[in-house]
Amino acid sequence: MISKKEKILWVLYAAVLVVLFLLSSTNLIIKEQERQVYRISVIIDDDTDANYTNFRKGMEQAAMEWNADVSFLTLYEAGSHEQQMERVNREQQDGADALVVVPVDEERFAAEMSGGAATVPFVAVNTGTGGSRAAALLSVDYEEMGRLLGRQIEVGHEKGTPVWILSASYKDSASRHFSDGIVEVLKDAGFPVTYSVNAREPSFLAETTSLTAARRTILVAADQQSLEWAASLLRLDRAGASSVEELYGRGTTLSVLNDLDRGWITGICVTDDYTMGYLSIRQAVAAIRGDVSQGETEFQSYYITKQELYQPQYEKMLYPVE
Amino acid sequence: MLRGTILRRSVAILLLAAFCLCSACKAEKKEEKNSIRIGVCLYRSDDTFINNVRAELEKRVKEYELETGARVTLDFQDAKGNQSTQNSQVERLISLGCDALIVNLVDRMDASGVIDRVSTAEIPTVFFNRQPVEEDMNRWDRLYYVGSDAKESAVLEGGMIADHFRNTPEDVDPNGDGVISYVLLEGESSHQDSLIRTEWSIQTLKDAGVPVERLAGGIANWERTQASALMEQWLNQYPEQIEVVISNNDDMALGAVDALERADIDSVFVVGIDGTTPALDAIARGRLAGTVQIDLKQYARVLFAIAMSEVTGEEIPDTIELTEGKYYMCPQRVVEREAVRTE
Amino acid sequence: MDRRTGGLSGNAGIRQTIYLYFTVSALAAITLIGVSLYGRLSGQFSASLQEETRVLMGQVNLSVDTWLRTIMKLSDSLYYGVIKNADVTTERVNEEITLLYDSNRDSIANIALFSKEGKLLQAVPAARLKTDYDVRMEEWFEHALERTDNLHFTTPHVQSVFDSGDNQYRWVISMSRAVEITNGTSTEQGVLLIDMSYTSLRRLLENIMLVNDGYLYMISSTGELIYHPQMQLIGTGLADEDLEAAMQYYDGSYHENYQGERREISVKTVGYTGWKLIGVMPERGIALNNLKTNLFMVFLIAFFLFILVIINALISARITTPIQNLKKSVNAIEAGALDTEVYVGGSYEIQHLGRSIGNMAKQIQKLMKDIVEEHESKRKSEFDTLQSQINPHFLYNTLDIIVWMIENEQKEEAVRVVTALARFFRISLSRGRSIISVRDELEHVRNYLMIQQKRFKNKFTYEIEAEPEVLDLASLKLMLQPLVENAIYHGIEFMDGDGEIRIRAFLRNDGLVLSVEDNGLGMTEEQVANLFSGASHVSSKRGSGIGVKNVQERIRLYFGREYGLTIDSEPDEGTRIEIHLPATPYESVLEKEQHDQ
Repeated sequence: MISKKEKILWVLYAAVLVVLFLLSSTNLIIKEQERQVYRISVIIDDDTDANYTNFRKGMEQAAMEWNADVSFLTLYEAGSHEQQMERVNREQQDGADALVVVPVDEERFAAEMSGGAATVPFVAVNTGTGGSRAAALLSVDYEEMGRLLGRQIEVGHEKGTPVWILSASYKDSASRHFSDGIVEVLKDAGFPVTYSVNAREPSFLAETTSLTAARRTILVAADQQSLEWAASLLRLDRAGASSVEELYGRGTTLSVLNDLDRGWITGICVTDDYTMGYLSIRQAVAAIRGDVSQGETEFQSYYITKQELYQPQYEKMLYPVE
Repeated sequence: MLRGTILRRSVAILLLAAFCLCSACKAEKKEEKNSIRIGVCLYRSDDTFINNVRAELEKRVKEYELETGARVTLDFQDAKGNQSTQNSQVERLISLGCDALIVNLVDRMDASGVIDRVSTAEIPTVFFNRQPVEEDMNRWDRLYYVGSDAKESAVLEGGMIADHFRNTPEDVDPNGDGVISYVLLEGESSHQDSLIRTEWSIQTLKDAGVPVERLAGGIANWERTQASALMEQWLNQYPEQIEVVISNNDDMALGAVDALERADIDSVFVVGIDGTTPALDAIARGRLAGTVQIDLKQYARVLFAIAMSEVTGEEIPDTIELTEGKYYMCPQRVVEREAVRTE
Repeated sequence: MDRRTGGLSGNAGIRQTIYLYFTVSALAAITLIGVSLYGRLSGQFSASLQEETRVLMGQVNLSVDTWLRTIMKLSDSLYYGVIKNADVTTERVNEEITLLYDSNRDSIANIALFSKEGKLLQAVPAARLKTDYDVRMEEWFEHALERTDNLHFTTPHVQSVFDSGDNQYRWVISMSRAVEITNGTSTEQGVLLIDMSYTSLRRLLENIMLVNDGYLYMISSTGELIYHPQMQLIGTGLADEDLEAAMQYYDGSYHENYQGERREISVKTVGYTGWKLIGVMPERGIALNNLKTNLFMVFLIAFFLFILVIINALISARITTPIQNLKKSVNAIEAGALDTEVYVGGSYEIQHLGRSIGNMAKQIQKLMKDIVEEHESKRKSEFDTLQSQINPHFLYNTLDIIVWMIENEQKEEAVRVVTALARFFRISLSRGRSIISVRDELEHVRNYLMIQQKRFKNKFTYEIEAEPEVLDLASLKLMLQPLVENAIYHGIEFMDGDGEIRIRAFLRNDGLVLSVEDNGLGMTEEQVANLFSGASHVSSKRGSGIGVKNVQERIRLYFGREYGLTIDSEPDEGTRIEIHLPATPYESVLEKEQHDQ
């Protein structure tokens, strides 16, 4: 006869066996980390991705590594905060696991997202303020960048040379900070600074010629688009070009780099867009997984001339290997 | 006692079996589908024409989203000129769950990699610009092709020159010897359009009775820089002799324009085909004599419409006529310097 | 039935032991087998993985080598086939170069020929140098001219010699060599540049999966990265690789510790360029390590154990149940029920035990019965003896004689008879003792004979002879008298003539002998046998009631079976009965009795 106690032991043992089996051979208890695909929506502040090529390459690399399904979304209308927020809401509703956003208006964005608009973790790019709910921030100190460029200009030119700052049709905060930084340094150094918006105008160069007949102007483009237009104008309009001393700006598109190489642009400020793109996805995935928040990552700006263009450390940054 | 043990053992085994069954029939994770996903595979992203198509496609999608409130995502892939890369990209798009594909083949002779995959996965596919051979197109009934009639574009291109020869011969025959001395820039040797365009642009001139003299010709693979280099060589080889540059596409034409600008020469009549944005700019500036503009808006619209109709099951609007139910040739028109100036 | 205390004692003794031993040995066996198999498999597994890796590395090496060689051969073809001894500025040369380019389009980005001064002589596909660009500053140009016998390879870089479009940049590895260019009748130095498409090299190395998420990378002989799956990230500082160490390694396999992880490194050098292919395989889990796998092993062991224990239970049950049953039977027997059917079953040994116990029980039963019977007969003998001690008929008869004698004024005779009678009875009783001295026993029979002689009117004579040394030996009481009684009533009473009874007591070498002889009628063998069997003896009416059988029995009872009576008889001749006793001094018997009490 088996006693009661023994019966109980037997049943317990059988139960332990079953549990062990479940643990080891099925997915009911220990879930094998299924290769989960993370759906991430990236919403930028522009209606085209022309300025984001390197950023996208970084993103795509991270997407492959971290198993993320990335949707890169541009706005219908560049610079519209309302549209951006609307897009944010739509993406969240449509089931995105996380967002990466380049805010059009960083203050309003931070306020709204902290205020409850965010239902999924999000990473804010190109801004130092993302609000309390941002999982991570990737920021660039544009003002510092501006100062960097300002100092370079100061070093290379005589005091008093007029400086003309160009900006595209909308004023975004990055360009604004950038200009501010330049202005800060140059004004102190005694360079007269003028602003001009919408360099797309064909008559622009005519304006500058007339206004600065005495001295050649230093042109500074506050954003990528204006830089490209300015460079192409210099290339095509030889006459107008003679009134321009040098062209500076910021941006990392290929055409900018080529123009730098060919000498139409003297110097540019760049950031490591590839890494920014890479980190944005990586941190978004980390946020989805619930890892510790990364906080703010600040990206350094660099000043590049033709000399530095093909140096190994800049080469990889500006021309990502694909 | 024996019976007791056996009973217990069988209970344990039954429990085990039950759990096995449970774990085997895991509920499938069903993905909520409330948005449409279209994969777009490009043969190279640095081809201006392809880029223009891409931009138009993106615009069209945005329009559509605003119109209907639906959510459509475009997934762009760049094959960088390698067909096997493109094949793996197609595979990846299929596994990510695309509803339809728009494909610009790298190697039109090697379409089976793509066609096999999409027909097995039953993903309707619209090819564009680089046309698969007919046998391949007939392998499945949900394959389509959108392109432009190469012959038509060549005829229009040649027609431009012929017209100028008739009306304003000094444009195309500056040295006045009654013969148009030209150089020819050709696209990729394997591309169906290069051969047709080359052949027919010249043929049109001949048919129009225009005496022509071929100074040089070269393959610039649709690329601006290659064309620029070739042009420079020819300018050195045939100083002051080149009167007209006939190019299979706009990028190459612009390359020739670059070389002319560098050499500070103004008098050469350069024509291309495509109607890309930089080309139109160059026309506006007066550097490019003319081009044959493909209605890119329509191009993109048709691409999108076919893809969407396959996805949603709606009929393709009647405004779009498909030859043999598969082929669509985009309308084209000539755009010239004067025409732009008068706008 | 045993009370079970705590449920696991009692009968569970054997069961528990068998369980324990079986389980322990099974567990030991499983563990040993498991561990050795695991170790062996694991070893084989990792060995085969290593082999696989080696083979894979070899293959990759081969493909990289082939790639390089193809381009090197191309370079040779270009030089020796096309450039050398040809006028390089002709269209024909360009066509030939284009041909070679077309057939290697996948791997080559540009082919270019420069003069010593840096002038571009040929370029396929058509390309132009960047404005104001001096090729002579480039490292590959300088190196090619410095060492004219070698091919020079650069590390991957962005193509920056030629004008490239606004939409593209290409990563290339430049290969340069010095060539001899024919210019009319003179020759001069030039440089042949072949830009190899880095993408095509990448394609060879990408997606090579080594074990455990291992990967492959390639470095130049000076330690610069040529390919790495995370090349871009390393370049921008987001990832790290152990490049210094890698530079030091020669071909072979190594173990290293990097960033806290143990890895196995496999190095193979690609020929000519000195580039090294490095395979990195993390060592965690080259064995079959994995939480789930471990748990599964545990589950497997537990499951087998479970099965084995059940089997043990069944086996041990088969063994112990019969033992238990046997035990029950034994308990029953112990409790006194000797008739219990003893369980016979189970294994052969248990069956045998069962049968033996059963036999034993029966044997005990029989013995007990025997003892009881013996006691009974003893009791009966005792009773008989007691009765014979009284011998009432002899008493009546003797008293009759005495009365007659007294009536007949034969006073002295009467006195003698009464005295003899008294003595006779005194010895008969002997205070209840069974063992008396020989002297007393002889006295006893003398008195009897005297009386009987009177009774039988001197029909017989008697004689008693005893050696003096036997007188103090032990003898059984009422031994001679019944025999004499027998002799008188069977032998003498009915004989013609005078009877003679002779009693002798003497020592022999085997003990004490007392004999009773008569010359009476004698007995046939049959009658002798009857005497011994008790079938006929002097009935109690006439004698003591004790027969020869009784005497025999009592002698045997008291002294042992080796002693007793022997009867020698011849019909008509006489009878001689011999009593054989041990020669024990009477004193020692008395002492023993006292001691016992």
